[in-house]
Amino acid sequence: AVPASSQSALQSLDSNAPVDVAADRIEVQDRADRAIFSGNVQVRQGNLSLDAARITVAYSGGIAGSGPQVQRLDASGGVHIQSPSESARGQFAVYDLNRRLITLIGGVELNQGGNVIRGGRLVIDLNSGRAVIDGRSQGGDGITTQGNASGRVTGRFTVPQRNN
Amino acid sequence: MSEAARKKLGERQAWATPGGRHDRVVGFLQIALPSAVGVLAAFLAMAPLQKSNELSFLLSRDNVEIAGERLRVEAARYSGTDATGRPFQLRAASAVQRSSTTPFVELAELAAQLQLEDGPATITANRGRYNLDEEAVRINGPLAFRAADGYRLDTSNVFVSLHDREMRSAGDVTGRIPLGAFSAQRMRVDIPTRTIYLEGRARLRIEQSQGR
Repeated sequence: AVPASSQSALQSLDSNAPVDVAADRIEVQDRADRAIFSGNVQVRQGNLSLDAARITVAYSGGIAGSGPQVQRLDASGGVHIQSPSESARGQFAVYDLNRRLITLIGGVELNQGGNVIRGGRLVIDLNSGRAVIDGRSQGGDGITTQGNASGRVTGRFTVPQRNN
Repeated sequence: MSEAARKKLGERQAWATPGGRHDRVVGFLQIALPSAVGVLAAFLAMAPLQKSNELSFLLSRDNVEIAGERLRVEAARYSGTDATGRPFQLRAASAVQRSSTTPFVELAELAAQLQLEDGPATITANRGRYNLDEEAVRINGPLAFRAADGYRLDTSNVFVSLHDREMRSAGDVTGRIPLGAFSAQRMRVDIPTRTIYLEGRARLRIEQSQGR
């Protein structure tokens, strides 16, 4: 039987872990503390993998010798988030490393242990490991997308076979 | 007068009598010396016309020690101004210009100093080839860029234009910036704005500090 656990494996993700990024083009604007990756961008951190067409990384530090610290990742264009316990797709994603929140919006589809859930917005809280989908299609900081018209959440769950 | 005195006087009188030894010597010299003068005068008059004693020689090139390069400078210093008119300076432990046809100078232990908006920045490398006309250095080997506020860029085998204040990689490039270690097939760095453009299988590994 497939354990339908809503507990995400990303809970153990250390936001301080090194972030590896691969892309066709990278533009690092040190004065703006920002790096822009474009062209099938692949981000890997621990067991999280995040692919998108375009990702902007905002970071701090780096020169003061204390080493850089990524504050936030903004991904857009066919975002695909993959973790050992689930995979999700959407149009925009924001990974806030300080609050350890991954927000995915815009026609979100979450695939977790065989269950497929669609909605306007998905929030994965790395502190609790809970993945919450709701119908609102408004991003944490005001990014609105069209979502499905009714603003409702639909899902298809696979029921484990009862052999009794 | 004593016997010896008389004898001595006699010898000196005999030496001085006409037709004696002294007269014969003087007589011979009266003829020999003027003729010697004549012969010498004749020889000197004829000397420049004779072919045989041409005293010229050809400095043969093969057994003279020839310097390999056209110009070797120890502790060289080149200075110029970049596109915005700010001065830059390029120092090197040694600079060798192979030939006068090409405006290239091979530098060793070079250090370039640029004046940027927020202070001086230095580029140091072991070996490079400085193009005098373009005011640009092709660095082979590692290169270290340091800015006034501690910004560091390390890479290798790049082309540094001191005039345009820009770096370009010839091909595959790897390096390190404050944000992390990068690699790509092509790189361009705009030095004043510190913007790094990486293209072609670009990779960046961000090692975060644990301060969160």
